[in-house]
Amino acid sequence: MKLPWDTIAATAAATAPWLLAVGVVYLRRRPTKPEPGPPTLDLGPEPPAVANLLVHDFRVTQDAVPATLLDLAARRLVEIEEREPGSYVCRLEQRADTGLTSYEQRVMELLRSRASGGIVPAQALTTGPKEQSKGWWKGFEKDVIGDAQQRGLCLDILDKRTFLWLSAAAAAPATVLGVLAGGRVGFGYWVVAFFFLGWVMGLHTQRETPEGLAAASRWLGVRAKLAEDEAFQTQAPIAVTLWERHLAYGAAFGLATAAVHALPMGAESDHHAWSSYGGQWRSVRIRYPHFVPLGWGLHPLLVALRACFALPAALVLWLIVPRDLAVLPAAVAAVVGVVVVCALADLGSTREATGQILRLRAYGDDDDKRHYVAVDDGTSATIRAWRVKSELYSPLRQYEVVTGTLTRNLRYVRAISETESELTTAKVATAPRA
Amino acid sequence: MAWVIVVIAAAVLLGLLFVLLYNRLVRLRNRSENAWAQVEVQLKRRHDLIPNLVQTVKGYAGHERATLDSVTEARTSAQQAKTVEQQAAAESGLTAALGRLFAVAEAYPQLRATENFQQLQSELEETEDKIAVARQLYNDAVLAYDNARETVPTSLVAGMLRFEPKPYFEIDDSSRAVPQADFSAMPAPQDG
Repeated sequence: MKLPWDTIAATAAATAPWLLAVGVVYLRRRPTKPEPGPPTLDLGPEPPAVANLLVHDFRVTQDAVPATLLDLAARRLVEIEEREPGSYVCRLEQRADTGLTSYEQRVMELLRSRASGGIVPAQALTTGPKEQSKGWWKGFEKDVIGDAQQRGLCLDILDKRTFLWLSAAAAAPATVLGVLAGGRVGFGYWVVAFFFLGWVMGLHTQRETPEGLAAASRWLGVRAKLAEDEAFQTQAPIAVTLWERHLAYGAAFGLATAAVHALPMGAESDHHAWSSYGGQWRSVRIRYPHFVPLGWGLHPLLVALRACFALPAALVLWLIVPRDLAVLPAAVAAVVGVVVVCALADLGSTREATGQILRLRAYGDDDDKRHYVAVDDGTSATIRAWRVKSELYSPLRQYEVVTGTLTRNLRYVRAISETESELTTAKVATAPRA
Repeated sequence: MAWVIVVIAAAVLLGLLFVLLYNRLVRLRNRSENAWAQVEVQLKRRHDLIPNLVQTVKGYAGHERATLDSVTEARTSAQQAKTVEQQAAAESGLTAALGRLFAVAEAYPQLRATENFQQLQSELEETEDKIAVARQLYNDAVLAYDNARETVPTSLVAGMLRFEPKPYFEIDDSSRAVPQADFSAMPAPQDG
C-alpha cells in the first residue's frame, strides 16, 4: 500500500509533538551518571545485588545472581568448597535463613532444589531451560528493584500515569492517519507507537533518587578501591572465606570475573547436565539423535516398513552405479538389513528403564516437532535422549524420576510414567521456581 | 627477496609468541606469589593470636609450663621460617603444640568458661579455616604455574629464562589445633 505524500506529511506533523514529548520525558528522567566517591573498602548497608543496580546505571546485571550466592557464603548460610582445582561445590549450612531478602530466598531456593545430600556442584546451579531461566531472572530482577525502591534508592522511570498519557497522546497522529488512510492503518500505527514507547522507556526502567545517587557514588568508590587489586579478578569462589563480603561486592561490580565464571547461574545447557541420580554427582553429556541411529525412537513397524521401501532403492542404485562403486548399494542394503532386523526384533520386546529426567527438549518446526526426554539411569556418562510422542511428553516435568517402557534397539517409548519410591524421591532435584 | 620477507615475518611471529608465553608465565608466577602473600597474612593473624591465648591459659593453668613453652617456641620458629617448606614444617609443629594446649585446657572448666578463652578459640578456629582456604588457593596457583612451566610450548620459554619451580604448601592438619567448640554444656562464667 502506498500512502499519498499529503497523508505522510500530515501524520509526520502530528507525530512530531508526540515524539518530542516522549524524548523530553526520557531525557529528563533517565538516570544521572553518579560521580565515583573516594576509594574505600567500607561497605554500605545495601546487599551486593542492590549495589550492582546502583553502579550499573540503575540496571540489574546477571552478575547480581552469583554475587548474591557469594554473599550468602560470606554470611555462612552456604559453604563453597573446592573438590579439585577449578571444581567447586556449594554446601547448604544447617542454619535458619531468616531475615533474607526475597531475591536471596530465591537463590537459597534454587540451591535447595538442586541439592542432593545438602551439596550441589557449582556447574549444576543453572536456572533451568532458556525460557524458564528467563522467568527466574525476571523474578530475581524484579525483587532486587523492589528492594532498591523500598530503600528509597530508585524510582520507576515512567509512572503508570505518564505512560498512559503518552500512550493516549499517540492516538492523535494515529487518528490523523486513520482519517486519511483508513481505520486499520491508524490502529496499526497506534500499536507500533505503543511498542516504540515501551522500547524507549525500557532502555532504563529505573532512575535515581537523591539517596540513590549518593549510594551509587559511594559504591563506585568501593569498586574503584577493589579494582586496584589486580589479583581480585582471578580469585576463586572459595576465596570468599578470605575476602568475605568484599568478594561478593567485587562479583556484583564485574571485578571478580573468575569467581563469577565458576558459578554459572544462567540458562542450562542442552547438551551437558549434572546428575545426582545414583547418589553421586556426575557430569553427563546428552545427545538428541535425529538421523543417526536410523529409526531412533520410532515405532518398529514404521521403521521396518520404511526400510522395506529403501531396499528397492538400494537395488536401483546397484543397477545404475558403475561396478567399481558397487560397494555403495551393498553398504546401503547392509544398513537397511540391520535396521529391519532391529525393528523386527523390537516388535516383541520391551524393557523398563528408570531414571531422572535431566532435560526435556523439543526441536524442529510445528510440522515436524521432535520431542526428547533425556533420562539418566545412573549408568553412563553419555545418554541418548528418548524420542517420544507429544502426548507422552507434555505431562512430564524436568528432574522428576520416571520409568519408561521402551523397545530394546530403537528405544521406541511405549509408555512413560512418574516413579515414586523412597529411593528415588531422595534423589530428585526439582525445577527452580520461575 | 621473498625469502628474506618470509624469514623476517617468521622471526616477528616467533618473537611475538615468545613474548606471549613469557607474559603468561610471569602472570602465573605473580599469581602464585600473590596467593602466598594471602597465606602469610592468615598465618600472621594466627601467630598474633597465640600470645593472648598463652597468657589466658597461664592465668588458670600456670603450672602447665612445658605445654605453654612448646607453643611459644613453635610460634617463634614459625615466625622465623624463611622458605615455604620451612614454613610448612613450622606450622605443622605449631598446630600440634596448639592441639596439646587445647587438650590441656579441657581439664580446666573455669578456663574454658571464660569469655576471653572462648573468643580466642573461636578466632583461632576462623583463622584456621582461612589458612586452609588460602593454602588451597596457593596450591592451585602453584599447580597452574607448574603445569605451564612443564608443558610445551611454555616449558621452552621457562627453561630458557629459568622459571624456577614453586613448592606446594603442605601442612599436617589431620588433627586441627582448635577442637570444634561446644559451649552449650558449659557453666556460665561467674561474675567477679
